[in-house]
Amino acid sequence: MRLGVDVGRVTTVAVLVGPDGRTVARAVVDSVPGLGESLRAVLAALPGDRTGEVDAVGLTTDLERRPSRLRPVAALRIAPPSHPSLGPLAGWPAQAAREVGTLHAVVPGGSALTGRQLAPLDRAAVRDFAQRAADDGVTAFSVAAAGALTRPDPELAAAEIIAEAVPGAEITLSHELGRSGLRERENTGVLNAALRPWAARVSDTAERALRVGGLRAPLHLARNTGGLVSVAYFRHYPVLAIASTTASAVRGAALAAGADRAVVVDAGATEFRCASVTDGEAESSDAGPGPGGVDLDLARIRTDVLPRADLVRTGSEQVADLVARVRRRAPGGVLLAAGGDCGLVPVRAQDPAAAIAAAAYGAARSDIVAEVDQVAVAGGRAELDRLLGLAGDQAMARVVAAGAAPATARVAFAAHTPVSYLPEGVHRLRVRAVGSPSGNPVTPRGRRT
Amino acid sequence: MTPGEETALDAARLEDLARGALVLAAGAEHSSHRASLDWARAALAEHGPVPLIHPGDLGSGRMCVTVSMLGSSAALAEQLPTGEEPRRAVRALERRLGRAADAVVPLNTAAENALLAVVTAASCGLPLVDGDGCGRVLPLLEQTTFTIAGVDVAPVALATPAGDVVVVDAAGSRVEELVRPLVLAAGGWAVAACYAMDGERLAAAVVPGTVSRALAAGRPTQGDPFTLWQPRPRRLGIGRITAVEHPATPGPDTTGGTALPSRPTSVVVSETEGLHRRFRLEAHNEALLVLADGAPAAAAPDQILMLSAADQRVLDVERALPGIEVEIVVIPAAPAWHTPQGRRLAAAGGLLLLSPDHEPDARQMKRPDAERPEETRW
Repeated sequence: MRLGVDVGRVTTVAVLVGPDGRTVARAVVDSVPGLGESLRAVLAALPGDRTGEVDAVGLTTDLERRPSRLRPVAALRIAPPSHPSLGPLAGWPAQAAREVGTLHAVVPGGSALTGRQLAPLDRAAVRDFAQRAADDGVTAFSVAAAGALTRPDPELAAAEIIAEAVPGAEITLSHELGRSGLRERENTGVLNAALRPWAARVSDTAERALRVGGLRAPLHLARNTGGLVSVAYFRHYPVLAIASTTASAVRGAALAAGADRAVVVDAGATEFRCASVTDGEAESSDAGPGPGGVDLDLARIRTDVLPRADLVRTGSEQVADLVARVRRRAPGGVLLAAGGDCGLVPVRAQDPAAAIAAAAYGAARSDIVAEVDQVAVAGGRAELDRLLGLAGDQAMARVVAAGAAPATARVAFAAHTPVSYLPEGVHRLRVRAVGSPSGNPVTPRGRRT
Repeated sequence: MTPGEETALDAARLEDLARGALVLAAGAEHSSHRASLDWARAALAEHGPVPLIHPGDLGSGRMCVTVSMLGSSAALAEQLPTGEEPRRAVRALERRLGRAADAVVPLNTAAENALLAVVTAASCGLPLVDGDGCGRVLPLLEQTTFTIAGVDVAPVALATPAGDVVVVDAAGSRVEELVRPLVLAAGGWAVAACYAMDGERLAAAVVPGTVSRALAAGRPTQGDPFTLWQPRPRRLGIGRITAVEHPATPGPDTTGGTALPSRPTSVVVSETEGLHRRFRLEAHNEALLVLADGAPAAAAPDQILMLSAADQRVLDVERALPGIEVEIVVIPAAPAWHTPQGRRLAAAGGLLLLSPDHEPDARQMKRPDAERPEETRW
């Protein structure tokens, strides 16, 4: 049995879901400012004491609910010099820039998208930078190299140097998170490094609250696009799971309805969010501003938003327009309601109690998901297939690292697209692997008979 | 801006241009477009607004230089510009020709190229010509209305982000072959300055008004992106995508070294109103032919776009999925592209699938303006 919990801005919801996907128990309480208090309250409200049967927990995240300060990060770019307007952290909104600080450097190295080395890595410059950061008391590092999706070696080499120079350094490498485009990938890495204390806080608080509630099952966090990662993985890669309530709600509503294609209206406290589901996956958008207004290249759910403040009278026409807009992008799906008060024609929840639990249900039903993005330079079809195979292996390793039971891990999606205006053989690879939470079903000692 | 009106491209207009330049480049890479925009913002902040000049107002005795990004925008997003590339390329061309440039012309006004032209004009202290050498996007450097008008692409001055400058002087048809390996060796992209020509010659060869129309298309209040487009785009119909087909295996590279990687795609759209026709779009990188109930309705070199009905944004062929509601819009190519020479040139480089060798027959030649009957021969 799995437990899904969604700590929303108004209500906190917990759902126990059986192996057949049926809801076994459900609890709804008012959210209070503290994550731990909200969790403890909702666990206490769950009817029947079946927490001992839970073998995995899925929790949604919402960084914006209680925005966290970014911690200072030492941002290292490995690339040839560029125009000042394109340098590390250039163009960051003032507050986010102030919080992560001004410690950044560009050192020679990196490669072109085609894998051609642009310069050998200046190892001494990396060491100097690491030392400078250590002297400033900064131990969070982000490393982004030009061409890292084709050749990650410079990032790995720099990480080794930093780890040696600064014991206890926490290092985020851009190629593990981001996609093509050095600046957005670097921003994603810096933000990830800056959010680790937030992730640690969320993880500690949630794990403690679960233990207090009698749960021993491993904790997982929901990703921005749906799917889960283990708490250990989340501590390393928090940026993958900063705002997962909507994606969980949208996928949860579709899962509950057994719909492969759907248009879901998620009614939040301040706005209606409408998104589509195709083949069980929520529509995602990649690029655009993320937390603090920083431009990222990070998969997120694509939603059309209607603020409640904009509603005219009952707002039913506006909601109908919102749905029609999304439906034109992704037609053919059933219309579903999720979230709180959806009492607006034409989106009326058939079962309001299930609608409000959609995000928790989605988190409970989700699998572990991990993705690999690479650029491959292949001389022919056979080599491309070999590189795709390797990327698949990496995705499998990653999904197991993210908490999947090894026996259940599989590649769910693999695609290669040629990069325009380069010679044949340069391909973008994208692989997604999924698996069931490893769960280690624990029989708590106290309950053994 | 209306033709003839004096205007300058300032910071606010740059944002309009950046948005409007995406109409012709649905598949533009976010990262490189964003990098080009930040670079252009910085260039305008440093050098001030760029005067926009109508091609007809240039007159003779003024040398115009065309600029373009060559290679892959994804490569630019990895190996970022140093900022020196455009000026270096223009200066190298000036040195080779022994005279100074008086105006900058965009090769096309799609995505990064529109912004790069602004950067070049700003950093060289030159006006930007309101017009370009294509009117749409074609993949090869020589595929321009300038070539059709007999203007040599060479000498071509290339400046790479690594600081290299190379001047290539060769017959037009060999330039592409020589330049591609250079660009590759440089890391995948470079800035080219080329098609140096006199202002009077430019006025006769350029597709005019393309910067203005991109500016208008990008104005935030605009619902219809095509307000300033002349001739007016033709709206073929609104329908739902009912099928997207790819050949089972990617076809072999049939056209040699300059072919671009992509796969042929067919998109079937069932009209949801009016005649309830069945449109079939044949695409290779972009849509090349539309059949309406089996009869040709539009074909390259006219540009065929699918606009998402949801938001009137151009839908990239790669993102076409069954179920999506689209409007099929045809943007007539500049008249030069409808001459026999223009058609042959547009078909170069593996872009076009269909035989380019059909000459319009005599009957059609006599009335070239009568609804352009020859376009159905592609």
